[in-house]
Amino acid sequence: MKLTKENIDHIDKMLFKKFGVFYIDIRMEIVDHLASELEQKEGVFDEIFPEFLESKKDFIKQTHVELNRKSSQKGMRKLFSNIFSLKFLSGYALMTVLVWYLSSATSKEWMLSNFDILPIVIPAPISLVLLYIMFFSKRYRSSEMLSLISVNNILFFGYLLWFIHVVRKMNNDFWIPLFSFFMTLAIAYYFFYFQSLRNHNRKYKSLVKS
Amino acid sequence: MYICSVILFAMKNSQLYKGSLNTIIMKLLEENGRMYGYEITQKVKLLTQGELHITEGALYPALHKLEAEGWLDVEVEKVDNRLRKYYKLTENGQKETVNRLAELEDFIRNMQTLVNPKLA
Repeated sequence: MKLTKENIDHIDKMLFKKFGVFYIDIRMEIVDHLASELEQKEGVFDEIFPEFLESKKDFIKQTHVELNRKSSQKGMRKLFSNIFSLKFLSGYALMTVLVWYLSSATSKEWMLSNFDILPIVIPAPISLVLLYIMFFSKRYRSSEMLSLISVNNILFFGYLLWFIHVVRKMNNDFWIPLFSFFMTLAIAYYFFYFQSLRNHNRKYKSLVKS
Repeated sequence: MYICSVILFAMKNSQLYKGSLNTIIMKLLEENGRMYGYEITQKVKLLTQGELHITEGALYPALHKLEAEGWLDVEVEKVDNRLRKYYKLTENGQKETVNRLAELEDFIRNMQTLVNPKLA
């Protein structure tokens, strides 16, 4: 049986709506697998597809759950490799010097009263873009990109809820490196996001729209 | 012939087979260049004349794990109205495949010794 573009779109839509397979990189692999298997069968697509999909529901659910989990792990791994990269560490060293210089020129209290919220404010525009993607660009979300961004956001939340208070209470030897780390991460977030977006577009979006 | 019967025994027992999935995937990619998921399942079925079926739910997580570990690289292409993800071995993946096959051969040899010591 030869599948048309409409047939493929229908499979894609069913995976998205019936099984909640939101991420394009996971969905496209399952679509290809199901389509390849269907192409080996004889018959009319509309007649055999419902039963075929029902027979594959365990495979779809298991693959979806497992690949989602692996994407989260990938996001963590990517974040750690970014943090320990030469570029990030150089930026961190520069930021630490800058914060130390500013706090020496003014005071810790002045610095923190004006800038302690910056590590959360700086990445806020990207977080808003992420919210937009999650609600308005559902079918083109990539698990790789979103897992990296989500892990970053968890760190920023951690700063908002806990680290900001630690920074305020610590003495000079510790608050400067900790604050500098989150400031560097907040700025590097833009690089991580656009790098992921570029990879995502290169891999999937340009192909989907062609 | 006795080695084949040991391998066939190992393959039919799903518990024994579980640990070999990654090695089987890497071996197939070493021999065939690049492959996609469904192609891998069909190739295994063909080579073992239907004796061995790769559980579909186990295949894609295994492929993603191998990719995350750096043993596999990925290419996405548009084929027949859809996107297809091809997997192929990286340079490190090729070296790792050799190591894993050597380990598997040792395992088979030791199993043969245990199962049929007279032939050892």
